[in-house]
Amino acid sequence: MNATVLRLLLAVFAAGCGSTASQVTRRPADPLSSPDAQRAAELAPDLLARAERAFRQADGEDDAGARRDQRQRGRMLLAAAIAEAERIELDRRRAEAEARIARADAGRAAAEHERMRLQRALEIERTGQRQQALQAAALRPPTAGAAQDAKGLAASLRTRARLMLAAARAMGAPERALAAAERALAAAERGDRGRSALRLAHDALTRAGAALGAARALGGETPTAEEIAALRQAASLRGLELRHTARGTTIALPGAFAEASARLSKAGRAMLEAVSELLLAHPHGAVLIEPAHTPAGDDRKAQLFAARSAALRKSLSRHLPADRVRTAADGEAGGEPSLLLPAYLQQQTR
Amino acid sequence: MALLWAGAAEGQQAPAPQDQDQDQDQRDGSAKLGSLLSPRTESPPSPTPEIDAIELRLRQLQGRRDAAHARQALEAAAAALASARKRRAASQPEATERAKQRAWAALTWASRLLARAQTAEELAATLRRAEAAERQAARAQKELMAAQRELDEARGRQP
Repeated sequence: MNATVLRLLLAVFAAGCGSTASQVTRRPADPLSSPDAQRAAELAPDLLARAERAFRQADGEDDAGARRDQRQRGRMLLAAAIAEAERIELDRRRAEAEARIARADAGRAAAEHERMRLQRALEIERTGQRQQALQAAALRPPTAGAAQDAKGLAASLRTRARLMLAAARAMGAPERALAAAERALAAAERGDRGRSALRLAHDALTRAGAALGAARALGGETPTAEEIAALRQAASLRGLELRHTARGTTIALPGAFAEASARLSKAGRAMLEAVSELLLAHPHGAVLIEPAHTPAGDDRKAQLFAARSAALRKSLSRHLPADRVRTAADGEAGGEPSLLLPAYLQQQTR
Repeated sequence: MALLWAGAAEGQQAPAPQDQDQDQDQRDGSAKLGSLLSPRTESPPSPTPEIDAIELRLRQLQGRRDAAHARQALEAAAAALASARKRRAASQPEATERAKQRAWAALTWASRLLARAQTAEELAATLRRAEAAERQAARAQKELMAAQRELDEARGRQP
């Protein structure tokens, strides 16, 4: 190729061809080796090869007019090759921008998903706190002034029942359990059926606890750590003695029976009443009656302890489902029976 | 019929290398002209099918809304087309052929300029979308951190 002639022609062409032509002739001294042409050779080799052929054809022409035609054609094909190379580079940048969009969208979707998860956790957290507050209010002992007479105590129990019912409703208790508690509460507030106001209020409280337990039962097979803590707190308010062991939670029943007797003492009846209320509101798993340990060969004690277990079972079954109350074969070492709640095992909580 | 000229569009003297110089514009023009000159039409066949094809392609490109991006290339194509007609009228077949080749080269240049302009528009739109997507992602991240803080605070209030 005659480089000098080519330079001259390209300079003339640049004068008439504006921006793209100016790119073609950015280095008019050597258009086919300019950076633009080099880039075109890499990205648009077919078009550049056609431009090169046109220039070669021009060099081979004897006629001046034919030479001019072919060179003009070569310049235009070179400009086309450069424009195509630029288009390809723009398209690559566009693809990179699309990849940025895809990355940003993926990041946004992941963040939104995680935020929704956190919001659910927050709602659960706040619901739990509200429930705990309601339960604490429900379980708060009556004031001394209110407890001075039965009427005041009944009013206090009804208040506790209302709060417990509200907690049960907030936790999504089944409608049937809620309706039963509402009926008992309405009866307590009316004071009808000739029953004492205290008895009716106590019934309402028991029903409200059952509704709360029904709501907790919907939560799964095992109690949550918060529910175990609530059990501990409720037991403490009722004066019950709880112990967490490797087998579950144990409720001690000291003094439930008089010496050498299989009948519940007065204190024992109150204790069992309190235990029943507690277990209605904490419905997970079985309630195992563990008799006092029987020394080997002591048939009398074995009979006594079996009778005591039967009395405990009868008392608990008045409030709890019969299939929930079971009797263990033998108890741990000790002279008093106890109740074991295997589901309330701290390590197995949800 | 349209293909009668297509094989020799970039020069009939040396068929093999010149065939490689046919570009898409030339082939598009051939196809469109072929449909125009199909036997179903009753008008007589054009005596200058290739020149007609060049003109058709030129008008197509000139009619595009973004034709301004290829103004100089389209002017070059129009000039080469006029030159081809003039040379043909003067019975200069070889010169006519070269003018037609120049016209095709100018059309190739014009179509590449238009394609580049279109891609540049697409790039600008995609960049705007990318920036918007990144802003949304940053906002989502900020909201996530706020939600995490809120949850931590709620848990911190627990006894």
